[in-house]
Amino acid sequence: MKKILNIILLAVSAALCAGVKLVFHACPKTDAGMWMHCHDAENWVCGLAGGMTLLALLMLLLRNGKLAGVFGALTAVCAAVTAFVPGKIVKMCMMDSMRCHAAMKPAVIVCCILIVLLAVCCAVMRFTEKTEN
Amino acid sequence: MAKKISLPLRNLTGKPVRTAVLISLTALLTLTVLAGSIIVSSLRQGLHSLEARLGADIMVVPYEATTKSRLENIVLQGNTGYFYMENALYDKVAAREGVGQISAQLYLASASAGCCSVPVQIIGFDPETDFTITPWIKKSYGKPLADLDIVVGNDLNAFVGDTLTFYGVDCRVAAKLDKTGTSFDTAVFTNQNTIKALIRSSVDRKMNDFQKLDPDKVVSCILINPADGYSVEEVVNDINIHVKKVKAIRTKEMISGISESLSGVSDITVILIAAVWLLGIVILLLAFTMSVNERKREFAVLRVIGSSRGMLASVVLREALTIGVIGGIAGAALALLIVLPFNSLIETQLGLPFLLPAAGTLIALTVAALLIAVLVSALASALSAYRISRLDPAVILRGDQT
Amino acid sequence: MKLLAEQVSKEFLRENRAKGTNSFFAVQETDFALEEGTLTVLMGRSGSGKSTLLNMLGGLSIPSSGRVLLDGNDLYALPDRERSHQRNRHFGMIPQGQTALQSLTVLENILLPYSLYGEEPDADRAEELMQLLDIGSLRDAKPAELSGGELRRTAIARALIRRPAVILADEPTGDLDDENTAAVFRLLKNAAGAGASVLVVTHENDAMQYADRLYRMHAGVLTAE
Repeated sequence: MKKILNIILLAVSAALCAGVKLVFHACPKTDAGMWMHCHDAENWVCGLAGGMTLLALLMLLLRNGKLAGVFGALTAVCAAVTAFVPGKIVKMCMMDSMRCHAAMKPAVIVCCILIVLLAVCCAVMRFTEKTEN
Repeated sequence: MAKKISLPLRNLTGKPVRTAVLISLTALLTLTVLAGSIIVSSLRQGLHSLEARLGADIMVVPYEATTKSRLENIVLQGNTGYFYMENALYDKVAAREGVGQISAQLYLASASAGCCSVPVQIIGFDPETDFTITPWIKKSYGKPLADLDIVVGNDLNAFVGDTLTFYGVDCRVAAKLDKTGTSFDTAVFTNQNTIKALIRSSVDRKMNDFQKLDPDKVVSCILINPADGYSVEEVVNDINIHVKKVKAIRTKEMISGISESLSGVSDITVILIAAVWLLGIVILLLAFTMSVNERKREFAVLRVIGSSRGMLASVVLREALTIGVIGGIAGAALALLIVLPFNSLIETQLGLPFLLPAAGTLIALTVAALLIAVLVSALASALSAYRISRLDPAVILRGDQT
Repeated sequence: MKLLAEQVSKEFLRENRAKGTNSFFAVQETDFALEEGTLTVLMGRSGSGKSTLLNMLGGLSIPSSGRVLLDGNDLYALPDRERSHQRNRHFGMIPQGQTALQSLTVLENILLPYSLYGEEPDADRAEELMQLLDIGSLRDAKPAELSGGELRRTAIARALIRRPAVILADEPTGDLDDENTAAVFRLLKNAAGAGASVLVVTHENDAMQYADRLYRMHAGVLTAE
């Protein structure tokens, strides 16, 4: 069970990392060829999601349950912070109807909620598991 | 020692794949009905909101604004734009018989390089004569708008006290309007003095399409309600016949395109929901029938060891209800998770006024969708439950030996 | 408890394309008594009507005519709910073939008669029966993992779990080897010894040695031997 959850966690993190660039990306360049604020948010989310993917992968490979549990907790915190990147930590575009608000922000928030839930479950399971020798 | 056995639950966990498929199917049914009904209801709400926001029965604009369909783009699509006509035309229109309430508006679009990442539609109204925007602004801002004060639509990321700069003129955000689900959510409203100052600045900076424009001598659009005893039709015809260079439009006519698209989208949504449900119900019916048929012998055994007909039916129904409740909750959660956060995206994709219903309506729709999921599961299994309660255990158990 | 059949018969309709629908009697009008403390064996070829008679006695198949009385009370005069409860409390039935519920373990299958009406199960009795029937090691196994004989013994344990007053067994030793057949008959004999009314329907001649009473059935007609 914990392995399946960990794999789902890895998949969602990777999907967030790739999706924020390819599927639910922020607003495109303006006609003048300039990037808007939301592009920074997109980059931040991509970077953080990449980090979470790495943490989830390490959790999967680690045999030490305690350490894996700590990594899980770290992933959860990282996801919680990432959820606040679009709009709160990094400024976004002017109108709520624009792509960064309409597509990127909700998708990032939904993914992050999912990652927090999965990461907490994985962290608790791994932290409390009996050490196998 | 031995725990109490819940047969329906054990039957469900005993066949995890079948159970997962049935739960997914019920979840899909709930998802379609809830997401579909929220979307349809949001579209209706959006249309009502648009009708309320337009607030006037007749709009009079310069003739070229209609030929280039600029007006509709601005009012309905949320695009930015501006056009002007001489003040004298306003006086001519106002003098026509049958004109009741009348007020002029001035339009301007901000330059994309200004405060915002994209151009914003700026609408200047005359507080003394206005009867469309003032009642709406009053809900968010009780005082009259001072010069260089602006009121922003709900979708603009500006808040009370912020300063927005248009064409080098600093404007203070005095209020933020409630969401309407229409193009007005991305607009900025000012009084006549402010917009005139902005237009002047845009002309000075050579950023206005209309050079040599004197904002004191022009208006963009005239809003009219007919006087008592006159019909909209009469006033529109009268203006169109007697006042040159302008076009009077019935606002209902303008919205009719939207209501047609809306009813089209609603129809498609309803047909889609019906198709998914028809298919889903048939699959559920088959699945329950097959699942009960393959366990006929087990039900006969239950009868042998003392189950009444009612108890057999209750096992089948409870299995179905469990599936209905779990699938329903999962489907409803998924629908809310898709429609609520992504409502702006749906609005943009549909290109129609879209206003989410109030929380109470959303809760009612969710509860209704859940009830429908549970009810449909129960109905789909009712036939199987009835048949199983009628089975002759002696015949079923003997059948094995032949 | 005494089980009495008065003039019971069972008529079935048989559809025949050539001759149209006709009816036949699986059991002709029959009087039959199952006494307390006796093991009665009913023998006959397959299709002779012995299983039909057993099902009528067990309250599972409504007779076309006649009555079935349990301690003087007409079983079929009761509503289905009441009759089913009577079957649960007083009857131990061993039907033909494999009759375990696939989603339950062996132990849960054996204790099932208790859970139907939410009663506290007699775990000691289950343990005792599993030992006697040599399925003690299979308590947590699922039916899919068992052999035909093990499933049969599970069904027997389930029928006996509530120490029923009436035991109706339809070919109970069908899938069993000689040793287990003898064990099952000893169990049924002991139950009769403890006061139960036991009816065993079989076509195995070995059963005769355990019988207190012996009947034969041929073409729906019952004769005592």
